[in-house]
Amino acid sequence: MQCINGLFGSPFEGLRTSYKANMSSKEEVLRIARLARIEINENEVEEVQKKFSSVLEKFNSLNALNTEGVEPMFYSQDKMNPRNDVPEPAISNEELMKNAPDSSDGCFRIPKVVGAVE
Amino acid sequence: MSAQELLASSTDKIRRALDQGEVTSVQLTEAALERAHQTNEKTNAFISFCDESAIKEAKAADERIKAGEKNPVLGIPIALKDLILTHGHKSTAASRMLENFIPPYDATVTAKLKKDGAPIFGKTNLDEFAMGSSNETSFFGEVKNPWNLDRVPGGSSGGSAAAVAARVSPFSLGTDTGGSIRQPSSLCGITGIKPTYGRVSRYGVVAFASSLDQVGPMCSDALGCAAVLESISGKDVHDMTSRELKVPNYYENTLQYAKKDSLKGLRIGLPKEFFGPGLNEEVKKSIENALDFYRSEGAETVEVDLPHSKYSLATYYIVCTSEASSNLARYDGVHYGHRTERLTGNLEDLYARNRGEGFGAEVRLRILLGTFCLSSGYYDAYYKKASQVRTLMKKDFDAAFAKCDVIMGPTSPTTAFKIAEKMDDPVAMYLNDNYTLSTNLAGLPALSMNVGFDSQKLPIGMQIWAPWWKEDEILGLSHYYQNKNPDTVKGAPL
Repeated sequence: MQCINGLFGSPFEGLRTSYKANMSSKEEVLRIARLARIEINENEVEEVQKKFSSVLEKFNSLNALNTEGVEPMFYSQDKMNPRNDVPEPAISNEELMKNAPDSSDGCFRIPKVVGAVE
Repeated sequence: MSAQELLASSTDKIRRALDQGEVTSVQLTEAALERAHQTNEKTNAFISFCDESAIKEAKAADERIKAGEKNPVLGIPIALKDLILTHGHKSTAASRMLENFIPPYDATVTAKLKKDGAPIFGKTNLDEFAMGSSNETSFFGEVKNPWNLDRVPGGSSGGSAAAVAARVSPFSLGTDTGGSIRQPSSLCGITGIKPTYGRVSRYGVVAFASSLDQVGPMCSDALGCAAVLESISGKDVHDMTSRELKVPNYYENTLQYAKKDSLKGLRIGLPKEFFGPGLNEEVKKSIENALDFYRSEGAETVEVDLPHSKYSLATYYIVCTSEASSNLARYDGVHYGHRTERLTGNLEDLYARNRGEGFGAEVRLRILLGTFCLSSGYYDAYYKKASQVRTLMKKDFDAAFAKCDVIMGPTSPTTAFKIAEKMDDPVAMYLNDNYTLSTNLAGLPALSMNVGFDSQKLPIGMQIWAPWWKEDEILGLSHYYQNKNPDTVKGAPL
């Protein structure tokens, strides 16, 4: 993808332009909401879509920057310091169940799961 | 001086009064609780109070002080942003999702403050899940700025800022992901510092954006910040991003800094991008006056360039929403948190309703944005791209700090704006953080302190940034300024 960028301009650019029209469409917003497992009411969709697209427009300003060959930085630290993988006393089941919306016999209880999750 | 008057005075005075037995921790804590309850109707700075436990902790602190123990925070009451877990005491993140959540453990910063004997007397209000710059998105209602109750205190740590501005207590903790300690500190006229990323443990702090979040002090003065930072800093086995570095004696070092004869040799960098259009004239004037002070003390100023700072808004919001979408995926209403009463349907419906009902509008928007940025086909164009820009920004800072020792500039482009003024336009709201975002992206330490007031008597803040791990320099310079400009350190007339 990167060498193609250099020679012909980004094909992704073309892709992105045609996506742009769809990126903040109602269908796209609902698709993302499904991925995120968040319910959006019918009367809210337009408002969400408006805000979503105005922020996305701002995000697209990064397209102007050439970042070819730049290493991404995911943390400002260059090394992580994990602890040794040794089991230690943890919080009791009883304590942990106290915040459960519904529980029974030390287990979390949820409505019966029917139908497949897509 | 009464306990109330002491709480409104300098950290130095409070420390000495406690150590010399002129006041007890119980008296201070009772005074803090009284004023907190009294002012809360006006400011809504607090979500909950820890009346009983705070007095118990204060009594224990008094025993330790009597026994001669010396510790900068011992006995001084402190309020914690309600994003920070307190064992056995409701911690809500200002969200319906965690409205009744009672943590089964303390955050590391909570445990450290308890160990050092600072009574924790209340949990302060914030923007929901720390997402906001005005403290208007809280499920428990907006916070009002004590300097003018029609105005916002800033966010997301608006409650902590308001509590300290109203001199309920001189100490509080906030968190800063994109400016959430510094911007409200600026709008409320107090001092707040975001430490270097990795200086303070994030264990037990509700995560927003894990590569950006930091806990930090928000206090009435720099010395207070130094005291609290000394207590909460340090390597934690529970947070692998916390660094194994000896914690400096921030309190003592900061006190000593003010004794310097002059600041000759200090080079202060001024990013030209931060003094251009968008910056309010009165804010600019106060900053210039503060810089003139430092120049008159022997420091020199030099222009520096942060060419990628104009991309910081886009970069920050791509990164933080992406990380937030991942961090907030845990809130599904199964093990804890809000569960819907509409229980028909399948598991996916359950999740969607729990989360749709549990999260406020801004949180939902940001999760959607982040989900989009990380989704298949868009990851490279957004999240990876933004992460590459972070590298470019870090390089800008490396170059800038080759020319100067610290960087100074405005915290917020304006003073406190009116409540509801920016709620409909997310980008306008996000622009409030323009001067603070890049330091989170780079992981740098940064402080905001009050440098004056505008014609509406609203506070104006200035930032001091330093290279990684140099909180000492920042705190020292701030204390030096406050020592010679005591008029800038005052509580709101509430």
